[in-house]
Amino acid sequence: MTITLNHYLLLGAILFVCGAVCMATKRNAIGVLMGVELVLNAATVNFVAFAHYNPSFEIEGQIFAMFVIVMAAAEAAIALAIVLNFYNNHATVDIDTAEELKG
Amino acid sequence: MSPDLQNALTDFIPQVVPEIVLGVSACVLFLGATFRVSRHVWGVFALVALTLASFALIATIRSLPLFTEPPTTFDKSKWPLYAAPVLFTPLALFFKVVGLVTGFLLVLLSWDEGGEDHAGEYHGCLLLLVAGIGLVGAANDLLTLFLALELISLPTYLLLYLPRADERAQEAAMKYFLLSVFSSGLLLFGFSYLYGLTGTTNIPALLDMFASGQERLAPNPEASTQQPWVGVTLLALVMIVAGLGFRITSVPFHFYAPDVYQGTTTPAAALLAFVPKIVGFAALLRILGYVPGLSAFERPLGTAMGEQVPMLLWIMAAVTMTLGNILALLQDNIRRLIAYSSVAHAGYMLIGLAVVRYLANAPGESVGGVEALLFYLVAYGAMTLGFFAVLHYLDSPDRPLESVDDLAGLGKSHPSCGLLLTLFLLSLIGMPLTAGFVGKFLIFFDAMGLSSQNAEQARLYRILALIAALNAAVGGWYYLRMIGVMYLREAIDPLPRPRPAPVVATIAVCATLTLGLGLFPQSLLQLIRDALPRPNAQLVARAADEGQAVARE
Repeated sequence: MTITLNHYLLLGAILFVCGAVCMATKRNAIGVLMGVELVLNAATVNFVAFAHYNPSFEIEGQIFAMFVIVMAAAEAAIALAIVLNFYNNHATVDIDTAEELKG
Repeated sequence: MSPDLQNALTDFIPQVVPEIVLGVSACVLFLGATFRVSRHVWGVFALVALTLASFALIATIRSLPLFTEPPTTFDKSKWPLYAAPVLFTPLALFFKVVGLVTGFLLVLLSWDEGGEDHAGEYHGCLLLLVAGIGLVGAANDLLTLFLALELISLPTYLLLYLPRADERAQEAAMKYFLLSVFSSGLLLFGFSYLYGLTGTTNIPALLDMFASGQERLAPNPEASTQQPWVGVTLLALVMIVAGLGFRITSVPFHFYAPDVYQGTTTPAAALLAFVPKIVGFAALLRILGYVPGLSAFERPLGTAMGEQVPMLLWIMAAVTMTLGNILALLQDNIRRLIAYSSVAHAGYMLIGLAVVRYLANAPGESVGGVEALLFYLVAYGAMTLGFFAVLHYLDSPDRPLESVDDLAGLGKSHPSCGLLLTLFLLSLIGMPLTAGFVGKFLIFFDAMGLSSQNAEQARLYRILALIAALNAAVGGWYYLRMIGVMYLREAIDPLPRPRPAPVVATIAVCATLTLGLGLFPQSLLQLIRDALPRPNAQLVARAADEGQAVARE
């Protein structure tokens, strides 16, 4: 079986859904963060696959992927700072303990 | 790589000098804040940086021609610019100016907020945010647009995180962060499909492909020549609208707003109410091709962008304003209330976006949807920032201003503050002589004005105008309730007299804008209209074909 673009698109879609489900169900803040990374990487897979499989496409896809990887790293850095502070306040990273704000 | 394209990739640098100034100043702030801890030094530095950026912007306007599409005489040598990552259009200029003014107001508003040791970083983040607003307005490529949006998101997380370390503020930062990142992921996923369908990330070229029905899901174009990929296009557009809908707090993605506004500091809440809305709408206008005078606008954009997306926006507008207003009725906390009111206002603004396509082809329309939307954005910014500024001015750590009842007796104990709050609240209701009235009037007028072309569409949008009018009436109730509490009830424990602070300048500017735009709306409307040139359809079509070829080279 040859691997075609559709397989990669399917992979991207599955990654995206996994990421979304992970964000919705995980109670651990780090786990939610992993879901976020999955969602971002799903889009990256799509970009690279599109750029690779279509001969008329140029390298925008790969460039986009590079930028997204760097951006995801920056986001992870801020996320860890926020999670660390959350841990200082709650002594846990279970986000269900965050229930001060309701209305 | 052709020399034309090479120039296009380097020529844009003079266009972003103001943003470069802001970025460098932010770096100085981040570095300098580690050596010196002072609220006033870094506050003044931020103001100086914003002033420098304003001068840079004036110099840019003087030295560079504004890139107005379409050119009056078709000049092919101009078109390589089409492929540039940023484009200095009149609309971009509008957003840059709005961004800089917002920057000044926010620096003054948050002068004495948070710990002194974080002041440098705080102001650095504000400067990056202002640079981001300018770049979103000018972005001409999906990549630039995405990075510019992130340039706003990342400092926003820090602005929520830095000033206070208590449980509520951290919970707000966490909530906002997780949802915001997810919305960025949605947006990015939508972008990836748009790229796959068209093979370009250049926004004008991409819109041209959709306009001429050339979008395909590669790689076997033979199999799908008959079938333009409406399904995938629609999926991509829904994801993009959803991702940006988070920023403008439209309904399925509004639920974070009340919690975050309540948990965070007042200046940060003011920022969240306005800045994401400007950039969200700027990005929507750009990606959906709803900017008059820009490339594909004059031509039909295919079913997905031309008909189904306006329908989606119609539904979002109706649900957003209704839900926002009804939930605001139930609130007691001022900031939660304003959060829901900001949801409702996002709904009114979405009407402006939903009617754009239908007003485009009507000849001789005096006000199009985009003009009304931009006017409403500015008016909303003035009144909301002003409202939050007064709250922040009255608020003190010993006597926090939380619930509506805390406002009791304000009309007597602080007559001028009471009067200003009343002004901003009346403007939020949409009373005549205030900016809010003119904004609502223009938007409702647009929705009513679709008469000639399609009877069914016209009826649909009249219904939307009716829903909006009912909502405006419902909204009046909870704003008037606040005014009533201020003037009709006695204070049990009056608020202390606040000390003079830089925030007074923000209040003054916002009050002037709210009143000024209400009395003389023509001045701003004319500016906006100049920023949106009425294109010549024939030239646009020719220019678009050429530009597409250049962009793909």
